[in-house]
Amino acid sequence: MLLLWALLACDVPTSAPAEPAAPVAPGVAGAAPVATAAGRYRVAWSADPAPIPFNTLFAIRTVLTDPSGAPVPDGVVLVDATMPQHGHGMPTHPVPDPGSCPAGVVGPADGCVHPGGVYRTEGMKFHMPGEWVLHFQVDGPAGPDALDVHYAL
Amino acid sequence: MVALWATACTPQLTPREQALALTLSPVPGPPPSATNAVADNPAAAALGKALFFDPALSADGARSCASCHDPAKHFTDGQQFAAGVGAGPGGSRNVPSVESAAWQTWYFWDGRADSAWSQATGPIRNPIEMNNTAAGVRDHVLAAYVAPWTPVFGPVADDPDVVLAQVGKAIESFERTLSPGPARFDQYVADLRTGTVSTALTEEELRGLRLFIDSGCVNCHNGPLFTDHSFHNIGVPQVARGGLDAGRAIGAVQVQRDPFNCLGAFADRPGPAGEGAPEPCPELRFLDNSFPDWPLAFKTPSLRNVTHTAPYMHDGSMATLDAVLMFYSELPGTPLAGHRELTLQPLRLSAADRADVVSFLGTLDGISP
Repeated sequence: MLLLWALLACDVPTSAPAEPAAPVAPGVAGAAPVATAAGRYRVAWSADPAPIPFNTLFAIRTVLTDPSGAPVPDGVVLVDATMPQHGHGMPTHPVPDPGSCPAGVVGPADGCVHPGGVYRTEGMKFHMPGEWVLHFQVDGPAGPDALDVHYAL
Repeated sequence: MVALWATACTPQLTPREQALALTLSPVPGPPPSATNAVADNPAAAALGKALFFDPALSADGARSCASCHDPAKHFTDGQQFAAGVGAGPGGSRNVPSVESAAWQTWYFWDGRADSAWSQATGPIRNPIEMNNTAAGVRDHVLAAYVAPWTPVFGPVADDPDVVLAQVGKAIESFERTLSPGPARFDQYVADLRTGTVSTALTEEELRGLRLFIDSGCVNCHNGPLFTDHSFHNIGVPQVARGGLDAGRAIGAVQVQRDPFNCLGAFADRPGPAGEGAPEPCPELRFLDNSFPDWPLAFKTPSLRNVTHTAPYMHDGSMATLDAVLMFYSELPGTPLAGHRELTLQPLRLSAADRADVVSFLGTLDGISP
């Protein structure tokens, strides 16, 4: 009886919600290449540092290939991220690396190449825990395409 | 039977709660200053301490940094708004503590400075605070500080802005000697980490900790400083003084234009340089000043020593922590601009719940040595 009383008297906080459902599986840095939405390319990506740190600047390294796996060095890869459930994106403005460019070209432009199809975007920041979506916008010889990747932080 | 009772009465943290609690302690050593070459120079800290407490840095000779950042009040002033020079109205925001300045990314409630030294130059020049000028500061350094100044910075520079920035760097060096101090909560987490049965927190405090985590306070008040170092519009009913305060929407633009920012001519580069060195100032370079959630957003304050720093919120409009928790319980009204942080939902905390959370927050008070 005394034990029962003790258990009742020492209940958990009245307003504490139940344990939340398990979040979606986090993205795996260095995961196998994934086909873009229209199938024009394949994208493999990894975070630097990995895994994606909380509320800390990080970079996304993207390897862009054609469907056969051949690198696409002369494309464009723009990466952004949003939190669909919160209605906002990142508090930063990510910047893609220009690649190896001809003399006098200082930004992404015709003539810049990304050897091996490797592109890097700096200035990403996931400032809140929760579900994020990484948005890859890609362009290249086969035309524009896109890929969304869900990531739980 | 007594042992059984004790076991039953201990509010056990779930694995998720334990995992989150472990992220909240201990406070690590301060990160290196990216733009202050004398940040950890003891002579600079001594000079900065003297400057911090020197009312002659203000135009009327009556107000020092410590007039608002009072060590006896954990470097706040206990007032709703910062007082200013003379009989002026003072500021329209509450004085934040500088105890954890070394760990911050952005400074002021709106983040319009990106270093502690840059922040320190602000109130000195602000007409409604210390109302001085760079030239006035240089004159005072020449008159009163040449002896302690020279070993730290060399001869007093001709450019008043250089001298003003150096005053800020000395003050930052002093502020880096401050810290919120270890708290009972840190002992609790240390016990948790080693699997030791902890007596550091009372049952009420543990219930408060669980509520703090499970209610989502920890979403923004996270990490060992209990802040995400970011900015949120939580919809605090703004008081009329000074009109609508746009917060981060203005601060993000100001910091990018500030000549004393990380990319400016007055910033040191004490870190590695040359090919292969990281590009400086990543936070500033990648800052999106048009982020749609910036209007009326203010910096998440640290909760270390929070029981000593009333009143609360950027406008000092809430006198007690219970009032703050009442606000989060009900989330009354709607923001005058932008929108309230979408992750916020009314917490519906009972009076007993609020008392538990306040009790937990008291465990973040630094223990006096």
